[in-house]
Amino acid sequence: MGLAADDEYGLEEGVELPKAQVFYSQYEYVVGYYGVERFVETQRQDGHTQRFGHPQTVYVTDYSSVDLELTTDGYPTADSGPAWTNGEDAWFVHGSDARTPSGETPIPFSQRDDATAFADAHGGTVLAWDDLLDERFEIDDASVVRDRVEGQHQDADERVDSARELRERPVSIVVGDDTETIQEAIEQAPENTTIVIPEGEYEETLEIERPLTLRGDGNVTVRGDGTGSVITTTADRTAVVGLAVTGSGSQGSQRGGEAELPGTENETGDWDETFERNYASGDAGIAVHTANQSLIEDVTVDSSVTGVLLRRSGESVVRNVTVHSPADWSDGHAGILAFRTPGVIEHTTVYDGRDAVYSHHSHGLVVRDNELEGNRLGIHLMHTSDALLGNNQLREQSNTGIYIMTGPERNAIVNNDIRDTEQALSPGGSDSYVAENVLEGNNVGLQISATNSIYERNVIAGNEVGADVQVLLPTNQVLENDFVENERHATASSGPLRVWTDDGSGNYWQGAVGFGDGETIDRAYSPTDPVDQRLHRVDGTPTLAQAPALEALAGLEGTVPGMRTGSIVDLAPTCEPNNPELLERTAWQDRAWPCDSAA
Amino acid sequence: MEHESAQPASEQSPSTSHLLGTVIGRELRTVVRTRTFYLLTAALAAVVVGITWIGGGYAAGYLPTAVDLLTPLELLVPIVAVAFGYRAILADEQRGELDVLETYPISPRELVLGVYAGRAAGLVAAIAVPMVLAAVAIAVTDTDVLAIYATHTGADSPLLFARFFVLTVLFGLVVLAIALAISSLVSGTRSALGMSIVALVALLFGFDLAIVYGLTEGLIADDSLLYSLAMSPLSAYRGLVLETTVAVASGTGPQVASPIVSLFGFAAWTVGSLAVAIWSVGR
Repeated sequence: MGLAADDEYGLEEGVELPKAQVFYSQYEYVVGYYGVERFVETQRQDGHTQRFGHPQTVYVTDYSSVDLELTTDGYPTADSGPAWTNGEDAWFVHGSDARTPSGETPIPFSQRDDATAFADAHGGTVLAWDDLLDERFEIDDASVVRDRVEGQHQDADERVDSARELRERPVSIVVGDDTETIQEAIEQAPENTTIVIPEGEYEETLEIERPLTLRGDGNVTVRGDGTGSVITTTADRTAVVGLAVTGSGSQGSQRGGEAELPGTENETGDWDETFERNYASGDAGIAVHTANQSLIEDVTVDSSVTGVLLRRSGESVVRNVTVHSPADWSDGHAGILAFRTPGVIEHTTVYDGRDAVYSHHSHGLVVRDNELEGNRLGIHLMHTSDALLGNNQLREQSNTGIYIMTGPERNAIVNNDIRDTEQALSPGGSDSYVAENVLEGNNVGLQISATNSIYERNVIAGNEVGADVQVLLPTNQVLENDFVENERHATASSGPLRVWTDDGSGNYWQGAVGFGDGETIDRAYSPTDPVDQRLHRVDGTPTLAQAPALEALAGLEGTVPGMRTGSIVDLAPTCEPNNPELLERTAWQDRAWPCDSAA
Repeated sequence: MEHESAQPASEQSPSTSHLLGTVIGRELRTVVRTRTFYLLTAALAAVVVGITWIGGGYAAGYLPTAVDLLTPLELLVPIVAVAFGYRAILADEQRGELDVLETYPISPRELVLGVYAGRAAGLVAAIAVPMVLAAVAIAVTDTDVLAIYATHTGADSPLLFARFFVLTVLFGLVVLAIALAISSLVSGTRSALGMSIVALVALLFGFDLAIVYGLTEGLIADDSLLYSLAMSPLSAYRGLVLETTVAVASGTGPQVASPIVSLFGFAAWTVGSLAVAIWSVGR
């Protein structure tokens, strides 16, 4: 753990990042860490020993075994694959110029002389293992993401405000008065002015190459000829406001990576260039290529493939856009497609598409306040880190509401409302923050598919399976969520014991028995236990669960957590729901009864 | 049965109640004379009062004390009950008294019921002493509660504790009947002890674990769990206490237990065990 797949692909040849692999007493697999600092910080976490047991042996990359140099970024490179050495006997250069994509990293050597020589050349001090364990490292973990959410919203507000200023450009041309066609107006209008399009239907395919604002006045429809994208812009600060678009070509994403793309940056040499040529070459209602800080607002697209396509158009804003997808979802690609475009997508509505919002490599993308209905995937992130997905309403996606793939880092998924979907929320990757979401009436509510992440204050109600653990590494914090009226509150198929209690805070589990002191219940709850899992729905289980035989067994298992596979336990279940306001939005508020109080 | 047919002139024999009274009196004298029973009562009292004290229940009230005492009593009452009963009939047999009694105009039913009643009186005392002590401790230390004889459910009151007491006594009597059955089936002290331990393990752990297994494997359907629980005396007792004493406050959620079915379970175990004992003595 500790490195996004995207960063891994992006590394230059020869880069050999320092790694640690750890053998634990109660965890059957070897756990690998990118950067020794990742292990140092992780082993300090609450509950780490409880889940993994004690580290028995730690191996670290041995740079004494290779010819070590640093790139300009500070990444260590080696002439060959470095060997491993026992961490406890190694020497570490701490505070040098060496970096990983995640930040500062100590460089391990088996030979002290090599460490000293490295420190002389690149700065830092030489530390033994025990001293290194006492050091603190700044790692952008999920708590950093949590702290970031508000600021990211504010940044997005500013970007939106800034983009919306494009609406205020002075009017230079009124189509129909000054020119016959919109395209003529685009050719003639001075830069940074507005072209007004009066009410009517225009059969045109538009290409914008200079910074202009197109603004519909009344009921305006631009109808393409059924080939290519209807409106294509390659100019920074383009604005398309207040019109309907229809009639694009039906060419979907292509194969082979041969397609020429509009705009600049056709040959980037990036690792995902082939993807880019394939995915960003499909036809769209509005195609925005290498046009930074653009605005698409108050637009309706009757889509044949993709509604709005954004490629390498950072800081662009898509706002109040409605996309009607092709009748057969398999003909379509995305409602809104963001390729290497960390923009803002807000207040949009996408119906019945393949992916309502699809993002590739758009680090820092903000997707908020959207309504996505009847799509296959609601929001689909690939290779996208640091994104904020907030306040989205997702209904009846046939596959997944929010699906984050390819192991990105530091995504925030906050305050979304996902219902009636096959699986509601699958936040892959790591160091992500999943909070205050309402997941109701889904087949599977929350997939615990991101590691080192915080899942807190979500309401998970009325699902077949509330939460399903998919990751093997038990490194998540799961707390203050409310599980109400799910057929199964939570499941885990394999892997070691997951402790869903953090710093004394657990979750609300409808049906959990035991007696409360007003806040927490004195009896642990295990949603994977055959009796506990039935507590909220089967008559008699409250009696059976409190049998001395079961209490004795639970106590025994509690002392050797590593022995239980596929288990989840909450050591401090809460007496009452933690998020009554969110719960009020579901149909199950009345079914969230408090625990018995003996006091 | 044989000896009854040997005594056809039953109108000349003493009345059943007189016979029963004689047997009960004899059993009571045995109980009073047996120091082990005092020791058991004292030990139970020490545990109950100790838990009341340590758990802070005496200050918190009757209901918290009942909650604290439930699991310990689940474990200890069967042990005490078995101690009271596991040799009751065996001892008669070992001393040859059964043979003597067979010459008397007394039926196996009268004998077993008499022994049961006599031992039951002792067991009730052994359960009552600790629980009354605990109740007194709560009463004297918690003056607030004493004033509130609330009749509505959910409130803490001595009535809830009294209910708890009655259910505990009933539970003890069920296990005593089982112990009597064991006592009538075995032939020696050692086998009596062995059988008793097996029965205790089954009672305290076996039945409940079997129910969990059945539930996990789908042998017990979710909607028949209430009935399965009533078949385990321990779970029946726990269910009765939770449903009628502790969990009266929460009205939502699944039913904790079915009191009627649980009481039926109690009755079935008691009647069944005594029937086994009567049959065994009459052999």
